[in-house]
Amino acid sequence: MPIQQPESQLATSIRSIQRKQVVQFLLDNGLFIAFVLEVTLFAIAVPEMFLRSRTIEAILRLSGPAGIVLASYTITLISGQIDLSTAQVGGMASLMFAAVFQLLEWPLGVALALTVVLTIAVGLLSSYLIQQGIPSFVSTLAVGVVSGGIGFLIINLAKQPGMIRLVRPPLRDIANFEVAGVPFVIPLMFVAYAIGWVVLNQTKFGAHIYALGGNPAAAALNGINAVRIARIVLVTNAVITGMAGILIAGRQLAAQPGVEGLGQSLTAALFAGVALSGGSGKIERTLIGLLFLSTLTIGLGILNVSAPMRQLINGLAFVFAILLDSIRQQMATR
Amino acid sequence: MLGRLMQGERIISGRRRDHLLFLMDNGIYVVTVVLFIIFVFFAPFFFTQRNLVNILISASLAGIVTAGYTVAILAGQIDTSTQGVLAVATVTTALLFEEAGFSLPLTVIFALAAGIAAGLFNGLIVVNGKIVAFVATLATQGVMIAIALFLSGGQTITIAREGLQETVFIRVFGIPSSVWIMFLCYIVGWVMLTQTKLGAHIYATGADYRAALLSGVPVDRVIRVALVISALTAALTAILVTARAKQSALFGLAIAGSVDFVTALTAVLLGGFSLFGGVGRIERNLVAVLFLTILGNGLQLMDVPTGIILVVRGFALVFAVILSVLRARMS
Amino acid sequence: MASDEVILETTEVDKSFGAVHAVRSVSWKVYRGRVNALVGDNGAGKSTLIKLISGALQPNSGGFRVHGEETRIGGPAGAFNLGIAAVYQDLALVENRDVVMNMFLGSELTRGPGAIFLDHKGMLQQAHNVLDDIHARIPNVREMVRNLSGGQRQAVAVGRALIRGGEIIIMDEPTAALGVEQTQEVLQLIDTLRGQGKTIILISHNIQQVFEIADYISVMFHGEMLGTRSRDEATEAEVVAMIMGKRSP
Repeated sequence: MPIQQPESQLATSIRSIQRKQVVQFLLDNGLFIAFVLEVTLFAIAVPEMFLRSRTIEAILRLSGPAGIVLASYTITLISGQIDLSTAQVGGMASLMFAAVFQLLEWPLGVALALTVVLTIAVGLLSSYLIQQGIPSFVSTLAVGVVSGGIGFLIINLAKQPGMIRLVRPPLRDIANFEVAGVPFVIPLMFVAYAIGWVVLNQTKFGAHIYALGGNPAAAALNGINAVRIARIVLVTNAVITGMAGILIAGRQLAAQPGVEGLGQSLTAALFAGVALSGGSGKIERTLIGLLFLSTLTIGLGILNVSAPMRQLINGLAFVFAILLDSIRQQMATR
Repeated sequence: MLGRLMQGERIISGRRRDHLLFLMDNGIYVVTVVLFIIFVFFAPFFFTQRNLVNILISASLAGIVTAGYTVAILAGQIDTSTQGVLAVATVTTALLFEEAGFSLPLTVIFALAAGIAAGLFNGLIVVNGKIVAFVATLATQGVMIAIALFLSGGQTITIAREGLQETVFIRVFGIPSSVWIMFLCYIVGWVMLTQTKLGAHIYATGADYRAALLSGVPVDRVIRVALVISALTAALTAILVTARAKQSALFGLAIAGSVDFVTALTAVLLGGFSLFGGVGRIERNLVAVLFLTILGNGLQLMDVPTGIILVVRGFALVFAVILSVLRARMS
Repeated sequence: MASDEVILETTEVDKSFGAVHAVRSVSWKVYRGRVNALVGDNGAGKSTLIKLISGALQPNSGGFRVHGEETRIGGPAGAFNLGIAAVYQDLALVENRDVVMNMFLGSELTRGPGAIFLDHKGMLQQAHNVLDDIHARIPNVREMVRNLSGGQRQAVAVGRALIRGGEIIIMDEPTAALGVEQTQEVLQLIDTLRGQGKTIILISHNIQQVFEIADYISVMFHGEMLGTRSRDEATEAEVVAMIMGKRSP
């Protein structure tokens, strides 16, 4: 027989359920609200500067290469691996490419192939360490230090001062190539997302990625090869990061050890609800996370906010993102 | 590890295992001595009094950071914010001493307080936010570096005022003060870890968080304290680095002084402390720090490109991590 | 008893972990279409034995006969091919995935070239069929496993075993963590499976429950198989004595 609850207690429990629903709603849709709010605020603050096609293009341009990386980065996170080597691998790849293509003046294809080989090697090293039972964050951290070193080494060997200028056609033209007035990195980013979405939701491989990230032990007991998946995911991520590094270098006309704009992948993914611990998240949402951060960068730039202040805001955004992830985890287990 | 889950455990036979363990435990001493001898012959100016003192100072600075770092690792917290704390504390030191004209003791107190504040901030995010330390401190590091940039305006602050280096970097019995300070840190650390209740709690929290929690260990407070200690030693190092360089060392700190968490993490792992909880030996940490310093110094003197030195550093960390896993698997 | 057919047999199977001799030369018969209970104290070797049968571990020596044929069980995939499917105690479910994807975990249906793309429709249909067959009460197969009850989870895990073509279904302590009502649900599930001609290997601590549902009761002690009793001829006292290590005449 059901126990009669006193009126007030019932009311409290209903209220707490309602509150939980509100929190859940905010966790699920807060990003969209925040994005709209952000755009509105910037539009009110600097309407004539912000609401221009050039600004929108700048936001998309900034998002392009980062978005290509984020698509594969999201898959990596969902598989339960955190890759902390992104910035260094991107930088290393762009330097490798620049040294071969710009300084040695070898053909574009050869330079690309050599860069791909190098990034594959880096991805294999990360996955090898993970296979040995080392958590991915430590593995990729160490590999990041190595990659950063290789980047510096390339600069040393090329006897260049801190960066390699990258002005040889056709790369310069490719990186800034436009289709009907739209920089081609933007459609490329959407293609990367489309592929990522299909892989995660429509393929067996994607199903295994979710399972592995969600419960590695269960995945192993059901015959899913964790080592193979980790290897494919990390190598793919390293290669794509490398390619994005080249695109960024091509746009900036210089290759540098640390690549600007690739470090926000984790923040964007966490904003979008991808779990730090793996196994859950929707790839299409991370695009909004990225646009939110890109808009923030461009908007603050228009507002003439100083560089340290912008860095502080980005830092706090990261802190906020991990707090969000923590709240999500706690809601899920309750 | 996952792949091996299915294959059952692989057992390494007894004698081979003992040999391997012995090698892992004592190899670092041999390698350090061998490296030293190699550099004596091949690195110009390596075996000069000036350079040896240099090595000693560099090693002691890295050693101080590592001491606090060890405490954090023992409590199960991988602190990746060292760089951020260093940045905040070095800027604090330079600003207060040079621009605000604070007295030396006050400057030191405020710089250490900045370190404590940074540690408390880490603790807040880790404990109250319920976030694993390495992610939390990765995030706070960004904030700290931004604050340091903000305070310094992104500029290196040169210290023209007399009194900082002259007082802090004195020699006692011919040995630089930083070496004494390092030993003091290790003695205090050893006493705290082995002779106090706090030390027992730190070990317990790191070894088995749940068990410690259920046995009434104030795990949250222990984690906070461990993170504060880690940040405090980083701040102490920052004061010494600033005094030595006579400027705030915000940029290039990682390369020049090799005082960063990569060195600390490598040294702690080479020392036998496990990422997954477990016990190592603090004196091995010291030797590992010495080893890493000698390695960097010798290669630099041999005019090896910075890139290679960085790659070597990276592989040293990779190697240390592999060793740590091997050790965990064997015991 | 004589009329029952042996579907799986272990012959002098042996397994050690270092100095620990977990399974000592166990020869055991499992009968087709019956509930074969395996009981014993903690550390008696039950879990190791079923891991050997389900391919999660490999024996040091000894062999298996399935359907009367000498065979090796090389890993979980090999066990599936022989029609052996284990439902582990923790059920090996992925909390953040829905019922369908959990049931097809590791054996997803695919379509198109190269077996790359998922056949979502086919999986949905088959999941419904299997769950209906075992009378599982799961209103929405697109629900995350995280939100299911203990009995429902058990049904998902068993459903997975059936999808894998499981003829011999190993259930490791299926009711250990469940309340009274959920336990009844699982016992009914076992009964349903037996009704459909499946062979069940049931590992349990609960002697009363074993007597309620099992056809055969086998007892392990210190890694050895002490013997198998048909439920009708055994008494609870005898089985308890065997669990304590008393060899019967």
